[in-house]
Parts: sequence; C-alpha cells; structure tokens
Amino acid sequence: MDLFGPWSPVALEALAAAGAGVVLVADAFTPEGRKGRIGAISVGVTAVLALAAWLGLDAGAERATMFGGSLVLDGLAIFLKRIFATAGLLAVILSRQYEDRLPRGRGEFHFLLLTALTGMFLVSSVGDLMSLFVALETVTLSFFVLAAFHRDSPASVEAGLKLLVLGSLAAAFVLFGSAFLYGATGSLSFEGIRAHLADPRHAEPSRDLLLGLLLVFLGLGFKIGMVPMQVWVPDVYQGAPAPVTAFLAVGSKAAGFALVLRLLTTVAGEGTKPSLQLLFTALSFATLFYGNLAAIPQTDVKRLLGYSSIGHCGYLLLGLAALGVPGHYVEETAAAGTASILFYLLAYSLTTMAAFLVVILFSRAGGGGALDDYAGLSRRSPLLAASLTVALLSLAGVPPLAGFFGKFMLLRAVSLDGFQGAGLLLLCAGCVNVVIGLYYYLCFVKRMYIHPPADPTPLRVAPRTAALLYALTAALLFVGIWPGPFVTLATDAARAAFGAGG
Amino acid sequence: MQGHPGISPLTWIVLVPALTAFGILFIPGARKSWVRRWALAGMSVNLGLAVWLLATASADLPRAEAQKVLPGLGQKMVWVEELGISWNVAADGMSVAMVFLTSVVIFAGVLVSWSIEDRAKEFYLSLIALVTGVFGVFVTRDLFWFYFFYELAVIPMYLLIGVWGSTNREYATMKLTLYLTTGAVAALAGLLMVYFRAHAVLGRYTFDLDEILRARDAGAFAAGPAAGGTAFQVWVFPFLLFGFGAIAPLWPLHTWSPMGHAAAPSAASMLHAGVLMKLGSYAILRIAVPALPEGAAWWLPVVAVLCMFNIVYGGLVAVAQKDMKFIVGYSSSSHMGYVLLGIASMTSLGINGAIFLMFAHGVMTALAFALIGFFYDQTHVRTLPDLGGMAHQIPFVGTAFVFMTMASAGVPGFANFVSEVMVMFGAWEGGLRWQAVVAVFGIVITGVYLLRAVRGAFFGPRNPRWDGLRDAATPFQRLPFLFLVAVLLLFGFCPFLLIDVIAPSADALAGLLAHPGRG
Repeated sequence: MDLFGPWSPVALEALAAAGAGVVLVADAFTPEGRKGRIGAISVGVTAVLALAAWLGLDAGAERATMFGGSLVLDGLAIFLKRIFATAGLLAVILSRQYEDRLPRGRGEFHFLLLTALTGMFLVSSVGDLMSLFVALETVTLSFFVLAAFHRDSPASVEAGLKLLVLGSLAAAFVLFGSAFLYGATGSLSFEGIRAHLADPRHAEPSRDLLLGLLLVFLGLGFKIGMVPMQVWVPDVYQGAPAPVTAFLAVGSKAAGFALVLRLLTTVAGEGTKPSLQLLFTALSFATLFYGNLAAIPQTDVKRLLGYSSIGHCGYLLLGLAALGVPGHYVEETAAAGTASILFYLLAYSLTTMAAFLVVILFSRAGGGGALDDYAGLSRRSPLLAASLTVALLSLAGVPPLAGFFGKFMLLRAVSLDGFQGAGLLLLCAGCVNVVIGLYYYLCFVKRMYIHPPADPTPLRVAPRTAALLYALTAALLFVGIWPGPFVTLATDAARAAFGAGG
Repeated sequence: MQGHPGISPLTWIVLVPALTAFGILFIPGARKSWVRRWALAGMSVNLGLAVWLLATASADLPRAEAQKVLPGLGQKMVWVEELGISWNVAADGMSVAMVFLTSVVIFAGVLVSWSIEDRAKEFYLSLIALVTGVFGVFVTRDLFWFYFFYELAVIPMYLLIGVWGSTNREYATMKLTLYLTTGAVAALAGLLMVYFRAHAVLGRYTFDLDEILRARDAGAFAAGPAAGGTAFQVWVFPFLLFGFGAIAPLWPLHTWSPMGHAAAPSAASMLHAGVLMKLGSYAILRIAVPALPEGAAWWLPVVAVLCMFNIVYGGLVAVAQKDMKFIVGYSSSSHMGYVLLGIASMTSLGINGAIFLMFAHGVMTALAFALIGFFYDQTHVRTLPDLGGMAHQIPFVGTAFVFMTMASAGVPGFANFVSEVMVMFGAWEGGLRWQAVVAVFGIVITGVYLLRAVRGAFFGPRNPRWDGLRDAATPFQRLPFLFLVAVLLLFGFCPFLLIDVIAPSADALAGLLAHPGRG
C-alpha cells in the first residue's frame, strides 16, 4: 500500500499539518475545563501518523520526488519518518502525563508538538538546500516556543531564549554555507550538486565547496548537540518542560542527522573524502569525551541527560566518521555507518522516551529534579526505579537492551577499515566512553537502589501508566535481543540512499 | 536452522534461566516465598539438564569429534544477517564442565540466599539474570553472543553487591563493574579485529567461531600486508588476554576481586568467585588461544610469569588478612594463578588440569563463601580477632569449613588435589620448571592462611559471645553445604568422570599450541 499514491512524498506532512489544524480548531471550540479532550485528539492524530508511517509507506518502493525534486521519498526518508512518527506519538503521550502542570494553553502545546512533527517529516524528505532550511526552521521555531512554555519560570524562558538566539546563529551558518555551496556548484538542489561533483573536471573539490560544507555541518551540529555547538544543550534540557525536552532530545538529534546524512549522500565522493573524514573524526572524538566527561559531576537529572545526549551525539558521529574509510568509500562502509546511525537513532528515541516518562511521572508525584531526590526510589516505587534503570542501562549500552546493539553497530562500523588510520583511535575512544558512560549512569542507579530514601512514602503508579512503562521496557528488550528486522530496515534504507547517490 | 531439530538442550540451558527471570517479574514482590521457590525450580531444571549433558557427553565419548563432544546438540540459526550474527550453540567437554559447575553453584546459591528478605524479588531477578549470561557464555559459539552474555553477566553484579552487600559495598561494586567493563570493551576491540581479519579471507562477515577458525586455517591471521609474520596475532592477542584476563583475574588486574568478594552477599560471592572468574580463563581457552595460536605462543610465557604473582603474592596477602572473606578472596586470585599456570604450560596435561581446576575451585570457593555467609548473617563480624571457638556452637558449619580447607589446600580425596597436581606436572612438562616448584610452595602458603582461618574462627576456647548462634540444623539448611562437599568428594575420587569429557578439548588446544604456525 502506498499512501496517497503520487502524493506520497508529502502524505505524512499533510496529515500532520491537518492534524495540527484540527487540534487548533478543536481547542477554540472546547470549553475551559474540558481541555483534556485536546490531548486525546492529539494522541489520536499521532497514532494515525505512526500507523501510516510504519504500515502505509512501502520502504521498498521506487524513489519518488515532488516539487521539482524539493521533496524526496526514499528508503532513508521512510525510515526517518518512522522514527519521527514513533517519537511524536510517545512525546504526545508523555505530554498527556504532564498536562496538568501546564499553566495555560494546552491546545497550543499540542499544536506546536504537531507542527514540530510536521517539520521533522519534512526534514526527512528534503531534496534541496532551500527546503532544507525551511524544514529545519519549522522544527526550531516550534521548539523555541515549546521550550519557553512555562513563561513564568525564568529557567524555561531562558531555555527558549537560548534556543532562539543560538538557533538563529546556527541557521545563519546553514544559510551562509548554502550560499557557498550554491556558488561553488551552481545549484541548490542535491541532484544538481551531485551532478556537478560527478563531472570529472570537478574531481578536486574547490575551497568554496569545502567551506560551504563546513559551515552547513556546523549549523546542523547545533541541532545534534555536537561540540563546539553544544553549549545550549544542558540549559535548554534543564529549563524546558520535560516532555519538550524528551521530544527535543530525540527530534532535534534525529532531524539534524537526517539532514547531515542527506547532504553526505550528495557530496560524498573521492574528492571530499579526506576532508570529511578528518572533520568527523575530530568532531566525534571531541564530542564523545566532552559529553561523557561533563556528565559525571552533574546533579540535576535533566542536565545529566543533556550532557549524556552530547555523548550520544559523539557516538552517532562515529557512524559519520565511518564514511571516510579508505578504499571503499561509498558502498560498504557508508551504508554500514548510515545503517548504524539509523538504528542508533531508533534505539535512542525509545530509550530517551522511556527515561523521560519516568522523570515526568516522578516529578508529577511531587519529586524534585535533582539526582539526590531519586534516592531510594526502588523502595518507594519498584516499578519506576526498575524502568528508569533499564532505560539508563540502555543508554549506557548494556545488553540485552536496544542501546547496546546500537553502540555495537557503531563501533563495528567505525572499525570497518581494518584498523588503519583513524578507525582504531575512534574504536578506542568509543570503548573508553562506554566505561565513562556506565560510570555516571550507574551513579544514578546507585542513588535509586542503594541510597536510603529521604521520604519513604510509596509512590503509586496508575495501572494505565504502568502498562505504558511495561510496554516501553519491553520494546527496549525486544529491540536489543532481536534487532534483526530493524537492522535490515536500516541497512536497506542506507543502501538505497547511497545507491541513489552513486 | 541447522543442527538439532527443535530447540536444542543447549538452547534450553540459556532459555530456562531467562524464562525463570522473566517469570519472577510477574510474581508480586510481597510473595517472597513464591519468588524463592520459582527460582529454585528453574535452577533445579538447569541442574538436571547439566547432569544430563554430562552423562550424555560421557556416553558420547567414543563418537566424539575433535573439540566437539556433543555434535548432535549443536544448533545454528541466522540472527542478524547483515552483520553475520547467528544464534549458534554447541558444547565440547570444556563447555559441559563449566555448565555443570555453574548449575551446581547457582543451585546452592539460590538455597543459601533463602534468608534474604530485603527486596527479594529484585535480588533473585538480578541473580538469575546474571547466571543467564554465564550459561550463555559457556554454550555459545558466536563471538557476538559471547560478548553479549559476558557483559550481561557483569552488570547485575553491580546491584547484587551494591544493594545486598556489606563492607564498603558502594566503592567495591563500582570498582568491580568498571574494571570488568573496561576489560570487556578491550576484549571487544580484539574480537572486532579478529572479525575483520577473518572477513578478508572468508569474503563475508561472520561472528561464527567455527568459521573464524576456518579462516585461521586459511591463513587469515598469519600474515597481513600491513604486518609481516605473526605480528597481527602478537599484536591482537593481548587485547583478548588482558581484556578477558581482568576477570580471571590475572595479576596485576586483580585488585577489584578480593574487595568485590568481601562486599558481596553470599550467593553473589559464590557466583563471582565460583563462576564469573572462570569466564576469563574460559574465554582465553575458547577464543583467544584457538583463534590466535601464534599470539598465544608468544604471550603465554608472559602469563607464566604473571601467574606466579597471583599464586605467591595473592597467597602472602591472604596470610596478612583478618577478614575471613578477604582471606578467601585473595585465596581465589591465588588459586586462579594455578589455572593460568596450567594454561601457560601449553601442555595437554596442564590444560586438562586448568579446566578441571576451574571446576574444582569453583565448587570449593562457593562452599567457602556459603559457609562464611552463613555465620556472618548471625555474627555480623567476620574478622578473625573477633571470632573464635565457634565450632562449639556451630559444629556442622565448622566441620564443613574444615572440609573446604582441606579441599583448598589440596588434600588428596578432593577434586582440587587432582587438578592441582595435573597443573604442576603439566607445568614441569611444559618446561616451566621453576614455576612448578614455586607453585608447590604456593600450596604451603595456602595451608598457612587457611589453617590460620580455621583456628582463628572455629577452634580455641568456647566464646560465650557466640552462644546464641544457630547451626545449620534442618536438612534443608544443610543441603547446599552437603551438596557442594559431595560434589568435591565425588570428583576427587572419580576425576575421570569429568577429565574424560574435558580431555578432547584440552588435547586439541595443546596440539594447536604445540604447532601454532600449522594453519
């Protein structure tokens, strides 16, 4: 079944935008007091989107384009849309748990979540530099309002402002870089750039092209929380409402990587290889160590997860560094690196959502946001403590959980060159950071299980919420123990993307 | 799927504990006795399976292929095709012996943990999850699953020690987990190097150990364009040796071990010293030596020196300890030195002895920690100056402890005697003459610290402070201790029951090491 036939490249975007409209209209006609309905509608919309993404799109279908190649639907786009749709559904469900803490504007909250999701769907399909910028800003603008949603709380406003100001700076980088790329290749569309590079006369990349790429990658590096564009991450994570943080953690990272991958499938070639490899090797090395080392002294849960998300960005960058392996550039290692990134993003989305669900439930039950507030949680609520522990261990990369297999794939991909050159260095960096990561995640686990609670009152978890926790934990175990189907999907998507790029 | 039709008993060896752990999830936390009984039931099934495996392996011996005692039980099923991962289980004599050891120790471990009341559900869940990993390591022949289960066996120990442990537990458990994980990722790097090198010859990616050994025979690890001669093996072997050696624990990577043992609750110490440490020597014998025999031939002489530190240094430090668990903890790293010496001898006799000693020491040390745990639960002290004269009050435990001491000190009649003698003769035969002599004197050191512990804890004048101690009185309480002593005596008097099964794998390894460049 191919959703909407020839309109398939915009099918999900259209549905999501329509859903956002429905939410906005429904909000206007819902009396104050009955606003819970809006959340239910929002859950319904995202559930339809998730079903449509997983069942309605045929990953094996021919590559389809629209608007003169501005939007593309291929295997890569479909896989990313599935990640976004799943993350969107979970983010909306998380928001339902959080709604009663929103001071006002529940309708707008859900509307903005859906517009952000629309932007993410667009991001996965972009086919030229213009749509890249538009899609990216759709996501960012939604998020900066969402992050500042607690407009009475200085931390939340600060988060929104940081996102806006630094996000604009990043957008400027992207635009500036795009201009250079246009100047160097004479085309805005990825097809055109690819055709320009395929011309043997341009085998040696021009300085303008490399500079443009560097600027665009740095701008996108802001989205994914890459060193040196990571400064906003901890503050925004800490200040934004928890469901927004969760969606931002997943959505922004996946959107950024979607665009980086899109661009790489375009410009990857023998000429650009040495520069790109050097760039991503250095960036992943720095990001890995910065994120994981800076996470160690953190005392606030959301801040800890913020720094750890920088560390995860470092792991994901390993997959990009794998692109630059000598010898077989585009075919094998690029596909392996991309497939690892896609799988890792899926595992990371599920895991992050599971972790934030517990954070939301805990704060809803009156718990604070400091790590020490979680002391003795396993005595107060064995279920919450166990679910959070599973999520943290999955982030740490411990079998049999989803995060383990993601890290395993990335470490394998980065060493595909048989340990010549940077592969060994990055493999060692990845391994060392597994240990560092395990340390601070275990310090968190230690508080929940080993330290005595300050206030021993048991926390109650409603049966429906408990079912959600069970489902997410089961998903982490399932993906970790039986990753085969997801690896196949990710590999096919990666091969399709690089196959098209040639 | 290839091999055994349906689900092979070897797959069940992993599935039963996994399902037991899964089942515990559905038992309400307040129903502690249900949790215990369910865990005991699951582990009894595994013990039954392990005994059946051992019996089948003995019966199969005349038909045994090299390295694979039970060819009919192997099973292979594609798991992740793109990466070359398959669910691949098979057992040779070494696997069977280790599976049997694990089931013996966990069966006793579940029994001695009966008195745990604090969060019993979580305790048994961690314990059984851990042992699932251990069983998995011992039956899998796929390098991915090997690493998967290895890591799975390490992490639950963090909670077991941290939550239910004693002395300095937070520090000890973090140190242990980080040490072992560092070792594990180092080994992972080594495994990946082997995997990629094998790909160059095979033309496809595979984590299947058998295929990797075929690649070795085809010369995949012999010489590379980048590195001449044996350089690849010599370069990669230490990743596996020290990575897996950290858990063995190879001196000087042992410092996590006595501390971890001392802090852990009884069942965790039993599993840890009894089984987890064997993962290291098992991994060296199962993967590192067969895949990289030339690297092994280069590095094992280094191990032959390092293990002397295990034996002598570990033993001397044990002499200086006052805490009973530290004594047994250091003694474990001392005894593991004999295992490593047996491996380093590179002779059939020595490797046979090493594998047999892995089994014998596992059972013996499990008994030691079970006994210490039994009285520590009541006395809440276990330093020698505070104890004394307890044999008056708890004669059964005292007697069992004397049995343990005799086994540990290598008194004939116990499995440990047989295996240690094999290791020493093997070392002598393999040219490690002075090491063999030192190893013999190591036994004397063992005698010194253990007899000192027995005297200090159990003998001497009656101490009224311990009048309230309860002995293991009911048959149910005595069961784990009697069971472990019986196993030690059974294999001490009839070592052939196990050695015949182990011998084919040990002989194959020794043959490989004798001509490492043959491939």
